[in-house]
Amino acid sequence: MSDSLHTLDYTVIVLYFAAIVACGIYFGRYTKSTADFFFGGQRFVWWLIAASCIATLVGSYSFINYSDLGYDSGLASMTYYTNDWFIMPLFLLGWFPIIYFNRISTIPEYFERRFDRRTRFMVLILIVLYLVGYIGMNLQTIAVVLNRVIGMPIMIGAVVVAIISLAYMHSGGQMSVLMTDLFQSMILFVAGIGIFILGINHVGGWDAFWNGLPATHKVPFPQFNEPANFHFIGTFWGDALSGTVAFFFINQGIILRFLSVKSVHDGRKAMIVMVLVLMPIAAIVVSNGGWVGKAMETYGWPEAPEKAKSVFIMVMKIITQPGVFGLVVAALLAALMSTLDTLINAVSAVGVNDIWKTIVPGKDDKYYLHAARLAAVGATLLGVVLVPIFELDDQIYTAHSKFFTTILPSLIVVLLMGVLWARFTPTAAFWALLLGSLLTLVTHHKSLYFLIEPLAHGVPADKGYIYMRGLFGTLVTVVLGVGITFCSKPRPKEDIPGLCIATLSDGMRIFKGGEPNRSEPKTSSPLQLRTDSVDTDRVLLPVELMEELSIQEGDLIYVSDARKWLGGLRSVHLKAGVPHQETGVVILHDEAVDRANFSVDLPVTVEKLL
Amino acid sequence: MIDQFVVFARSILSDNWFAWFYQYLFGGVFFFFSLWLTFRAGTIYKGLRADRRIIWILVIGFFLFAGIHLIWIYSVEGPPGK
Repeated sequence: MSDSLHTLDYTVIVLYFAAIVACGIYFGRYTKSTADFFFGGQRFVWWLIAASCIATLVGSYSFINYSDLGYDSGLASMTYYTNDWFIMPLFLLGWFPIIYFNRISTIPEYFERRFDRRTRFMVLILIVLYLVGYIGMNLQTIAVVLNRVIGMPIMIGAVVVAIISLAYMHSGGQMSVLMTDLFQSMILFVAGIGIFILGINHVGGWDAFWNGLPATHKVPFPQFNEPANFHFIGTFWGDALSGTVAFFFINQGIILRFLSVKSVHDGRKAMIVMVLVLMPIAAIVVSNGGWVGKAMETYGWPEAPEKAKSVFIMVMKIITQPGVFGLVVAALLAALMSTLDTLINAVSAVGVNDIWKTIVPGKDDKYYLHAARLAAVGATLLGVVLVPIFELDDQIYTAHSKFFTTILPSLIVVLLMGVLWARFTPTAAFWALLLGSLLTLVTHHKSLYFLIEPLAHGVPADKGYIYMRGLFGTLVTVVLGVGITFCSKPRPKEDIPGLCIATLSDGMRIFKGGEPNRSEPKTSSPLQLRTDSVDTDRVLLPVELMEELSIQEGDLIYVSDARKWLGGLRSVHLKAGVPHQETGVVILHDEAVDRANFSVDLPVTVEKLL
Repeated sequence: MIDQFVVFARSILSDNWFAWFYQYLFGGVFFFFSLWLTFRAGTIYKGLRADRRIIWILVIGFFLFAGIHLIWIYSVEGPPGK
């Protein structure tokens, strides 16, 4: 394919890499603590989080795989991105406030605080194995893309991408990831929608495109229970419920992203906009290459695709001009790199919070920030080492995926039971996770297929029940969890404050350090900033503003640069101090101004949070 | 038993209509049950407009997806039934 690349395409690709590195390094200078490195300082507004999450969601495989699916199955390829709404109540009203108010930085940490240390240890091993393996897979995928596009040897491609990722990730952490992902999401959407418009234009307009699709390709759902690799019942149980919970509840990268938001309210907004608006658009962005390919085939594809796997690349070669093709390749790389940087940040968080802090406790924040940066380097190196192993034997790659999709239902069930049911015991969590995973794993043996068959909804067993095993794992773990809970002793509710929905209000109290102020949140108009010798964690506000915004002393306040388009980059959380009499003036300590990255000559706004 | 139910349902409905009913029936049970559970646990503060709005958005979102899928299938296949 490299012969089809024009100088202009190379220029666009190089510019893309340069822009990503520059963007990451520039915003990396805002990172001054581990809170910045892992959670971007918990300061960002909803639209930034939503946009960056969508870049992470559109992963290394998306353009290629969903275009293949779109070519084979039509518009039903959108299913995976349009069936996530069912878990929204649990995420928005349960899981997200729990992790946010408890400042839970990693999944294993939740398991220890909600259950016990042994469950945390088991989950830690699983998460680390998963994340590091996944970094290797991502690096390999990017390297393969670079190999196919510009003919770069795979190992060199992996090393180059690893160096580029580290160049902007190493110093900035989540701050850099957020900002570069925002940029990458724009490239993804512009290129993806652009491809669709070009494709429709190529086949002769919308009517020609629509009429070029076979009737079977125009419906929103795939066939009910066949073929084995893509059917409705599998996508419903395996993706809409299980997969969505896995992505939003136990994906360490997504957890860190949502912890970067300035408030629970903004986090909920980000999620709603993402699932309701951005994901359906992303579905079109990643799938339309396949739909256009199918329509082109109807009108006599100039060159028959040898196999569906190449449909995205083939369509791009036909419909794009020099420069535009470079942009498409940049979008492909953006999808890959935005997932990779999120994974590196996630491993770094787990490495420092779950491993290093237990080995070397009690050091200052600078020490752990340094450790986080080293962990990012270590995780990337490990990923690079895995590339030749995955290249050598793709069965290892497959085994890694198969293992984690098999144990995922048990992990999800235990987590959800922990969130929803205060009575759910640590003993039940540990054994349900262990036995549930093992029982699901052994069903890979053909002689045990009969265990899944009653739940298979008529899906043939010939491909080994790719999706329906998840339903079996879910049910087995629920039964184990409920059964063992009634035979073991629960933790008193006072021991798990804020860690399940029944004790969520305790979490809010802990987060604020006092009783929450439940009045309507309001934001002030721009105010003048002044520094003085006040407490570093306090903001002093004028009396009339405190009355106007219903703020009481001790309330949690979000002070932000008045320029909304900064998305919270210059902002800080503080507590309201004793009110003063200077109308229109906000008083902060120098250190708070530094933490917020404010310029004292620029106006700020004030918002009451809790 | 599930197999027989699937065979029966596919004998009277096209795959897309069956998928629609299945998704929004089982998904709906999961959705509204979890909404009820979290609501009952007091995770929403009813006195706060922003919190009440979330509930409405969740319910509207559910019916929006169901409605779009319904109109989509209807426009391609016509009413349910074979």
